[in-house]
Amino acid sequence: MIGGASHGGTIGRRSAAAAPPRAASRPEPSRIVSAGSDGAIGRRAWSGPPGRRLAFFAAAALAAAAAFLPLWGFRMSAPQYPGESLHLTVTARAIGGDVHEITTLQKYIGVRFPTRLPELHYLVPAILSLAAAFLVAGLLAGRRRGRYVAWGAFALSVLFFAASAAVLQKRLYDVGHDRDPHAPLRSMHDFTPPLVGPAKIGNFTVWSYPHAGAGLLIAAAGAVAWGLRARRERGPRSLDGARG
Amino acid sequence: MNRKSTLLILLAVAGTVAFMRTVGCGSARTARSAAAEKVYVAPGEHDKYYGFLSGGQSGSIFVIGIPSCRLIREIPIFEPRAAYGYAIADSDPRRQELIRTGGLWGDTHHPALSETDGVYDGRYVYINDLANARVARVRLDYFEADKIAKIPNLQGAHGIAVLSPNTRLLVVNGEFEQPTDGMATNPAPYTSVIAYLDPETMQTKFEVRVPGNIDIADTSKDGRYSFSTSYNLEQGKDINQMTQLDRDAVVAVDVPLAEKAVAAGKGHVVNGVPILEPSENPGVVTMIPVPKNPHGINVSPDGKYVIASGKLSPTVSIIDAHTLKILAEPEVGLGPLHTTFDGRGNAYTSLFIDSQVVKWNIEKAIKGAPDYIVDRIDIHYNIGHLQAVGGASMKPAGDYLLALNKLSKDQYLPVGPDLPEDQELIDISGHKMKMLASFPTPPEPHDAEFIDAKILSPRVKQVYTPAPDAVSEGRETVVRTGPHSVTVNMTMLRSAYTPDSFTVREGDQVTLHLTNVETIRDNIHGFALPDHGLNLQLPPGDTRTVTVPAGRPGVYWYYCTNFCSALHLEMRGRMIVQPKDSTIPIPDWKSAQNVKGTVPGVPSTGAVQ
Repeated sequence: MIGGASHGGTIGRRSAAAAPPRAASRPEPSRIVSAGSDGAIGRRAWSGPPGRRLAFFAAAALAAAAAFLPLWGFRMSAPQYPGESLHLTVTARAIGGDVHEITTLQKYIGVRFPTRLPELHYLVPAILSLAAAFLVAGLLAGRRRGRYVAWGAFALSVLFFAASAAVLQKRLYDVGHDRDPHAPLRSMHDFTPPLVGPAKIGNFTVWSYPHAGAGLLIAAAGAVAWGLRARRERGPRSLDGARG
Repeated sequence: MNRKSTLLILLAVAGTVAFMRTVGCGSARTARSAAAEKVYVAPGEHDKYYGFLSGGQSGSIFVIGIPSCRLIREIPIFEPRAAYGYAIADSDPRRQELIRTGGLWGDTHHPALSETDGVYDGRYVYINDLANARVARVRLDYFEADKIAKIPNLQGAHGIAVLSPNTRLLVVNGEFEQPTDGMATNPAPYTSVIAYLDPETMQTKFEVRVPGNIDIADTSKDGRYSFSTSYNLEQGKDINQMTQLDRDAVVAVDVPLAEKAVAAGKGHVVNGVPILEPSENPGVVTMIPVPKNPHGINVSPDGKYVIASGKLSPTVSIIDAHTLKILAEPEVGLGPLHTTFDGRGNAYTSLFIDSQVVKWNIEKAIKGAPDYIVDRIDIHYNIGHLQAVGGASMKPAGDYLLALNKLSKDQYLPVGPDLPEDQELIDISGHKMKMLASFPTPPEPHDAEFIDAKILSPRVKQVYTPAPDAVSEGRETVVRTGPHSVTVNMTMLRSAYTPDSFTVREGDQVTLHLTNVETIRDNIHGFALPDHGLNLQLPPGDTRTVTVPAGRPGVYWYYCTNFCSALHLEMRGRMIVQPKDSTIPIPDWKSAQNVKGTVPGVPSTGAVQ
C-alpha cells in the first residue's frame, strides 16, 4: 500500500503505550511481527491503511460542509416556461428557489406546499453529529476501539440516509396525495414524485435529484466505507504474507 | 393538309407554349421562393433586427422584426391606448402628463436611436410629436416612454436627430414659423427655432432662431454641425408664396460655437430658454443654398457628405460636411425626399413622384461620371422615407432597406375607403435591389431606424423590479384616509386580486394602489373597473396608482382583462358602493394572511393553508 511505512510509523509512535496488552490479547499481531512485515501495525490492533485517518477527517469535513449546502433539488419544466425551468432547492435550513412561482402554481392543483417541516430543525444537528462521528472515528483511528466508532459512524450515516430518504419520499407522496379537495383542478390524478428521477405532473415534468450537499454526504459515507473496507483488505494480505 | 399533320402542328404549338410557360413561371417561382426564404423566420426563431417605425398620427412607435416584417409590439406614447392600459384612467399620471404637455394625441415622425461612438447603443429611442412640440424618450430596456418634454418657443416639432457620435444633444426642428414675440401681435416676419435638448434631462438647453420652415434634421458624425433643411425662405403663408424662390437652404449650425455663445450669455431668454440670434452670433448659422423646398437631409456614414434631397427639384445636393461647400447636384429622379446608405459608397434616395428607390454612387456622382445611377426599383406607392439598416449610423449593415410608402392603393385586400399604409422590404446586399416583402400597418409610419438584436435584446427586461411603494403579498389593506377618501392597496397574482372585495361609500374618492406581484415574464394582469373609465395593464412587478370616484351605489366587478391563467375568467373582485346615507359601518381591512410559516424561504401567504 502506498505510503504504508511512514503512516504506520506515525500510528506506532502515538500508541506505543497501548501496545503490550493488545499484543498479548490478540494472536494476529504477533504473527505479523514475526513475519516482520510492519512493526508498527504489529503493535496496533486497529491502525490500518495509511489513508484511513485522512479519509475519516475528509468525511467529517464533507459532512460539515453539506450542512450548509443544498441537499435536494427539483427542476420543473413546462412548455410555457421556455428556457426558464423552475427550481426548488432544499437546504438544511430552508427551501429556496422559485418558491413564489411554485406556490402560485400549486394552488391550481391543490398541492399543499409544506409550510411546516419539523424535520428541518433536526437536519443541521443530525448532519453535524454525523460529521462529529466521522471526526471522532478519525481521531480514534489509531486506537483500539476506533474501529467500533468508525463502524458506528458508518452505520449512523446509513441510518441517516435511510431515514432522510424515507421522510423525503413520504413528503413527496403527501405532495401528490394530500391535496386540497377544493382545489380548482382537483380532478388531476394523484402522483408521487420519485426521490430521483422524472415525474409528469400536469403540464410539468418534475425532476428530483440529489444536490451538492447530498453529494458531499454520500462522498463522506463513501470515504468512511473506503476506510473500513481498506482494513479488511489489508488484514488478510498481511496474514497471507505471514503465511507465505 | 391532312388531319394527322394538323394534329401534329397543334401538338407542337401546344408543347412549345407549355414549355415557355413552365420555364417562365419556373423562374418567377424561383425568384419568389428566394425572396420568401430571405424573410422567413421560423416560428420560435427571432429576427435579426428590431425596427422602430414611427406611428405618425397614432402617436406611438411600431416595433417590427426585420426581416420577417412581423409586428412585435406597439409602444404607446402620445395617445392613450386601452390595449396597454396606457393613460386610460383620468387620474393616470401618464394621462395627466400628456394633458399637461399638450394633449391626448401626438404625431410621431422620426425615431432617433441613441448612439455611442456613432453606433446605436440600445439605450433609448427618441421621437417627436410634431403636433404639440413634444419629444419623448423611450427606454429600450422596458420599451416604454420614460420622459415627455414640451419644447418652448416652438411649433411643429418635426426633424429630430441625436448629435453624433455620442448623443450629447438632441436636435429638434421647429417647422411652423411663429411671430418672434410668440403673441401674434408682432408684425415682423415669422421665424422658426431649432431646439437643442439635453438627452438625459430632456430640458431644452438653448435654441437658435432661423428663417423659413425648418424641416428634417441630421448631424455631422464629429458632433460639429447640426444640419436642417429649410423651406419657405420666402416666409410665405400659402403654397404660391412658399415656392417662389429658386433656392431655399440647408441650415448648418455650429453646435460648439452656439454652446459657447449661450455660455457667454448671448442668448435672449424666452420662456426660460436662451435663443441665439444668428445676426448677433456670426458663424453659428451657415445657410447653404440648395434647390427650392428641399426635404430630407442625411449625412453619409463616413461623415464626409451631407445629402439634401430636392423634393421639387429632381436633384440631390451633395455638400461637403466639413467645408459646407456644394460638391455636386446630380439628377436622381422626380420628387427625391430622403437618402440612406449601405456603407459601400452607395446612396439610396426615395423618389416620391416616380414611386421608386434609386441607388446611386456618391463618388461617381461627385466626379460627374455618367454611370452614377446604379439601379432603380419600383415602389408601391409614393415612397416617403426610406431607411437602410444602420443607414443613419456610422456602421450601416448594407443588407436590408425599408421603404415607407404613403399610399397602398391595390396592394392589400380592400378594407373600405380608409386604406392601410404600406411598407416594403428591399434586399440591398447585391448590385441590383430586390423586392422581398411588404406589410401594412395602421396609420402612419413616416421614418424608421433599426438596431441589431444582438445589441438590444440582452438589455431588455421582461419583469419589473418592484418599486419602493409596491404592495407586497400579505400587506394588502383597505384604509379610509379621510371623510371621503379610501385607499385600497391591492396585489394581483394568478388568479386572484387581494382583496377580492372592498366596500366604499357613494361620494368617496377611491385610490387604487395596485401591484402585480408575479415574478415570471408574461404574467400580465389587467384591472378593469366597469363604468369607471378604468383599465390598467400591469406586467409582472409593476405598480400603478389611480383614483376614481366611487360613483353610483351598486356592485362593480373589477376583472382581469389580460388573459393570464387557467382561472383568468375567475379572476375578479367587487367594489361595493354603499349609498351616501347608509349607516352600515365600513371597517378598515388588513390582509389576514400574515401567518408566518416555519419553513424559512417559504411565504405562507402564497401557500394553501
